[in-house]
Amino acid sequence: MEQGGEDTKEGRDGVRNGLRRKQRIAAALTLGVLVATVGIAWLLEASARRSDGSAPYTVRVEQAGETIGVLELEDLRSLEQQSVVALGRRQEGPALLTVLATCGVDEFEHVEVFGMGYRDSGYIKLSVEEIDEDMLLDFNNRGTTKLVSPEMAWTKRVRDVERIVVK
Amino acid sequence: MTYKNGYIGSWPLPVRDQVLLALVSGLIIATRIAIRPPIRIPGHSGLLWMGLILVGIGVVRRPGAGTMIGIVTGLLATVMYPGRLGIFVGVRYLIPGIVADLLFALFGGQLNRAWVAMIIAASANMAKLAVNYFVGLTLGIPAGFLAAGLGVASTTHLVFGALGGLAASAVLNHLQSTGALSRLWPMKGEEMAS
Repeated sequence: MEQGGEDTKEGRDGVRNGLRRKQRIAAALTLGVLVATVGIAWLLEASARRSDGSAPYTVRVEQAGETIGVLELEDLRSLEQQSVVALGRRQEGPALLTVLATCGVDEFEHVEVFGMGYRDSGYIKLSVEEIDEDMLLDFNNRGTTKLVSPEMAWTKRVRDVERIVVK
Repeated sequence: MTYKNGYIGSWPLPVRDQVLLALVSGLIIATRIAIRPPIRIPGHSGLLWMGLILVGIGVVRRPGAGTMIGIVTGLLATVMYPGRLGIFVGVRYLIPGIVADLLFALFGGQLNRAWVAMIIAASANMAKLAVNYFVGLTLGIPAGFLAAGLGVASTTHLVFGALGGLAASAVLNHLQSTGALSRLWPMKGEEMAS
């Protein structure tokens, strides 16, 4: 045990009061930082909106080294929508095959899908046998899409899809 | 021996603590992969993730426990889904652990108090969001894309983190009231008396 004044009741009360005061100051500081961080986040979002009014997100489809389609979010929303349940969660968006057909792709051997690679590997290569109607580009909360299918493992998903290369 | 800031011991960590922290790290990765609640709200993963970090810190109560969880979880994540981020995957897990550690010490280790646990977990979850933002900038992802939905995301990260802290506090209080904590991990008073 510690020696000296802290062994007395007054000493222990003093330590407790000191601790409480320290905690109150720490709580006020931490809450202040948290509120400031939330405020900065809202400001960043607002300034990003003001500085860029155009649609920043597109999915580019390429074949034989040429771009055969650039689809904005609204273009993707206007396509026939598919709904599947993958890993217990409902996913909705256009099927990959529908996106490819929209860009005039009817025959291919495999497809490479590239994402921003910010939340995952950002890449998957799929043969024609691996792609079915249930593989789709799901719309997420960030205003981008992710490639999902009921059979696809969570770690294989490609989020924030940017580019689809058809071969 | 007396320890400050709510700690019951120092380094090196006993084997039981190392095993517990490794288990917590494994659980965090497992919940990230296996538990996919039908909630489409950013930051919801913090409910389990930050809750688990706090339970780990609250049981072990030694300096650097959160950082250890962060390092091990980061290593596991880097091995399991490295992607383009490489080592940054690990940083995502490390920083919330460090933040939780620092605040645990700052608040004197009072995780049995719900409001303390809520503040610590909310801060750790916000740190995760901040790291994601800066990692994105480092990778050259347009700031406009990263900022999309950031306001809502920051608010929900705060809320889910706080809920995770509330849950962790409840778990720790339950472990303490049933005597499980004092049997497996001696309380500060008991260690001081020995």
